[in-house]
Amino acid sequence: MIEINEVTKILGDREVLKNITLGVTKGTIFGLIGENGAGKTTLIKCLTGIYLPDQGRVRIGEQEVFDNPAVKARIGYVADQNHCFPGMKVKELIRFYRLSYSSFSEERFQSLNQVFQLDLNKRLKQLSKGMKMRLALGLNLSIQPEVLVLDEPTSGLDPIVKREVTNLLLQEVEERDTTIFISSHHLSDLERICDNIAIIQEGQIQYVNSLEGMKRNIKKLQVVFQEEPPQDLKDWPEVLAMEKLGRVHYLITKEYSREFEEKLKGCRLMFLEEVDLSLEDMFIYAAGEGLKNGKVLV
Amino acid sequence: MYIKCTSSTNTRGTHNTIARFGDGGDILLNIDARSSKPIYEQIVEQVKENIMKGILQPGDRLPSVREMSTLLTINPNTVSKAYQELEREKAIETIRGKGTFVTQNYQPKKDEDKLQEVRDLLKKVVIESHYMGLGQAEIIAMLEDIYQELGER
Repeated sequence: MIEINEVTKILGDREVLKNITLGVTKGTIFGLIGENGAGKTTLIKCLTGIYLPDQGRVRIGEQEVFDNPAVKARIGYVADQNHCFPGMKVKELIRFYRLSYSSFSEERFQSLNQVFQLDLNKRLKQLSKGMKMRLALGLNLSIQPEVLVLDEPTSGLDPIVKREVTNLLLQEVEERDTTIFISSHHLSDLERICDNIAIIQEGQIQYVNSLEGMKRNIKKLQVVFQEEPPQDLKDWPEVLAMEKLGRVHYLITKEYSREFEEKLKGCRLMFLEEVDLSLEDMFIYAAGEGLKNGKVLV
Repeated sequence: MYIKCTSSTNTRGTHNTIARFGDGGDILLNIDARSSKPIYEQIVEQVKENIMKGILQPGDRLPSVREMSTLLTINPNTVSKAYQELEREKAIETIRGKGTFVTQNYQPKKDEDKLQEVRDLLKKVVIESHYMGLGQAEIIAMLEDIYQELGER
């Protein structure tokens, strides 16, 4: 559904996106994670046709997005900051959306507003950050998009609304086969809902995999050796990071396999156990931060 | 249909969701998104466990993909995948237009891979117990206890 092909974007004198290629299948949820300033928002702006990439192309449903109103009409976009038209009233903005998107459903908005509880007579500048986010989500769900692009959608939302919003997104996927592209650094939010995850760092995609694949491949092992561990353990291609705590060695591997486990067992082990690794830990290791800092979280 | 859903954070700081559904079949699921086990596998295992314990009985209706995804706040594709796997193992069946049900005569299949997996797990238990100073008799007694707890199904 979404094809991002060798996209490079230069802003000022900085290459913010470097040769990015990603694909998202229809009806799936794609999560983009990265540190502040990694290029998440820039990539999203290329995806929604706000920026024209300097190289490469972005296509949705086999059509170029940039300067293509027909495609944009089918994209819902919730930006990380929503402060357009501060003097407008909420109901005026609803009207604006209705005129802009032919697929806008006022009924849908009304039913969503049962959850969001927005006062339609308030002006936008009177709304808090969380309320603005609710409004943007409500409007963009009401245009019944084929592709929904969300930039940090849950920031500023309280836990109850956050859960409601997540459930609304899940229902969108289930009922209308909507494709969702979501960026966040609240990794625990993404952990439950994404099909696929990409990690972006300094404008480059470091890692793409299904969440399931990540769980299968990136593992943390607790190992106790009978004697000394092999000298070259650190240099094994499978070992991403390692730390010693007393007699216990913690190993992080990016490419877990039976063979790797057998190879380890061949080194006279006393004990080997897998430790749960959250997406947050995975993010830190897969992005290579664990390596740079030489730190392993226990 | 009566639905109750509770979320809690356990001592490990991981997020668990327990969902209960009531219309004949109550089901208790506990999904840990932080576990290194993929979520769909957790669903497959726990539904089977529910059947084994008799919490779910033959003919009971399971929540639809949509209900399950909302209750657990997880991706509907993940739920579909779990249901497909359960159907493949003949634990549940989908009747078009009616819903998904626990099969009438679910016979846990003992395929070779699974058997090896169980054997490996048991081996691990035996080794660990050995280091704790537990003997064979104590382990067997413990197993019997567990069987009783699960109702020897």
